[in-house]
Amino acid sequence: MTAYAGTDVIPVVDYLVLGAHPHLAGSRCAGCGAVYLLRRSACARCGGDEFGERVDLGHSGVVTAATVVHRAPPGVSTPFVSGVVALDSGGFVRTNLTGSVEDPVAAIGRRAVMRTRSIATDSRGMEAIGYEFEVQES
Amino acid sequence: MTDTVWIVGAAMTKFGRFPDLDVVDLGTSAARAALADSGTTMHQMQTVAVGNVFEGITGVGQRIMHQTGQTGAPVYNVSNACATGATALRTAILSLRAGEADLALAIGCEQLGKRGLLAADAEPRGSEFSPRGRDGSVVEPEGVLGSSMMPAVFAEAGVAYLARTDGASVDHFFKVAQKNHLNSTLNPLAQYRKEFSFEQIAGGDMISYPNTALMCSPTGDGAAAVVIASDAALCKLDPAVRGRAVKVSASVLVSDPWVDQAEASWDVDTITQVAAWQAYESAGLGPSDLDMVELHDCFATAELIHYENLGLCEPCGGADFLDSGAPWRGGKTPVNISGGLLSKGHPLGATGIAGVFEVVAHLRGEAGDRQIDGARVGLAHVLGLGSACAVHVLEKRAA
Repeated sequence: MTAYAGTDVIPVVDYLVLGAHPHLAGSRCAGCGAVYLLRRSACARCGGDEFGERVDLGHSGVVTAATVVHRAPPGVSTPFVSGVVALDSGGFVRTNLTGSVEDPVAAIGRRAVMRTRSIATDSRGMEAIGYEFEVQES
Repeated sequence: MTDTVWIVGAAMTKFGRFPDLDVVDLGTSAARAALADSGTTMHQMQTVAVGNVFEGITGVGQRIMHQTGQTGAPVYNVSNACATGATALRTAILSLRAGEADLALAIGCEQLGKRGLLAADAEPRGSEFSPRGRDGSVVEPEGVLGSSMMPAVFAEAGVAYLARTDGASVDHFFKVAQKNHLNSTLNPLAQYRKEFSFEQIAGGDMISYPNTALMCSPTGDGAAAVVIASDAALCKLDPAVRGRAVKVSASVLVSDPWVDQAEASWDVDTITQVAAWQAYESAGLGPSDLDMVELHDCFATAELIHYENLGLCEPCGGADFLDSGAPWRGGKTPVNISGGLLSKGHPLGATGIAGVFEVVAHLRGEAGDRQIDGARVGLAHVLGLGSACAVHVLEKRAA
């Protein structure tokens, strides 16, 4: 968990960095350069285990997958657009998509920019901040 | 050790919903039918491999042997997502190749019931946010950070396919479902045996674009089993059984190789391509030699993609392949003549062996109304997300 001392917000996942310029962060394998957002034991590509400092992966990229989900488990509101964005600074992220995604096929290859949003508040009043990617018109 | 592995017995239960039976009833039924088909008994089996997903921790293999013969033979209970049944078969094959067994039994069985969307039960979260898992998430990510459910995974794969493939449209996915539902009308073992029009499929309840309800495999119950024999064991079997033996020309299992987007999405393409080409090399055969294919159409989008992944057509040629009639009954390479997962059903642990059963039935000329005449070579493919991909190539025994 990333600490935000003196605040009552928490990122919905570790790889989301809040603050004045919200962005995604991850790690880069020192051996082969593979980029990861999630906590790693070792590199899945080369087996190396040196990752160095956390790297800023930015807040924009290109849509590589998209679908409109109409049926979901109980408690999940539908419809929503699910997809994947290839980040400009490396790495891929699974995300909800907003913006120009009426036609998921046409959305593939379009640029997308990350926005943050409030997801939920817990019993202490702590607010979870999530992310989604807004697909730009081509 | 054996040069060749032979399938000498094969059987499957009807797929469907059997709330009055348990998974042991289903597995036992298929196992005893496969044993009878091969003229052998449980007491001759030197290895038993059993695939089951949702009751995997209960020792399903032993529970089946408690009902059919507690012979003391080793039991391997295996689980590998939707490739579970095929993994059980491959485990049994490995025991023959290792020289530890001359006769072995592989069973796949599952009782899913009306489970709805398949997902692992999430541990309840407390009232205060507490990061959990490799992503450090404080809420369940489903629906908040996209979807990781199977309908979305295969919908996304289909959408990405359309975006990179000129001439392919959602209509092709609808046609896949139309074909497989039509095929199932000839299969008495299929869960559903109803023909649907293109319009009914396209207009069905949308699950994850572009897959409607009739383009998603149903949950259900069922089992399938095969008995395999080494060269040495084959010689000792009844001539009538020997004459119906089917050769296992390739048995390949692979896990998902690393790709750039591995963290964010399941790559259903590369893993299938790798497994397929390993299988063709192992069999000394190519896609053009195939008389029929049972491939993993968990969703209609998956089938069109796998035409290319399995090399049944040229890259970007899946839509033309479908439009040409090739994968239809009577076509060059009939695909999912059983009705496929879409209509025959998909009881996870049983599916991989059921695909093999279907190919065996055709190679033996015993597939009844749905028989592909003159079939000599067939391929069975399954893909379990997580991921595991298995390809088996089977050949009619040389006379």
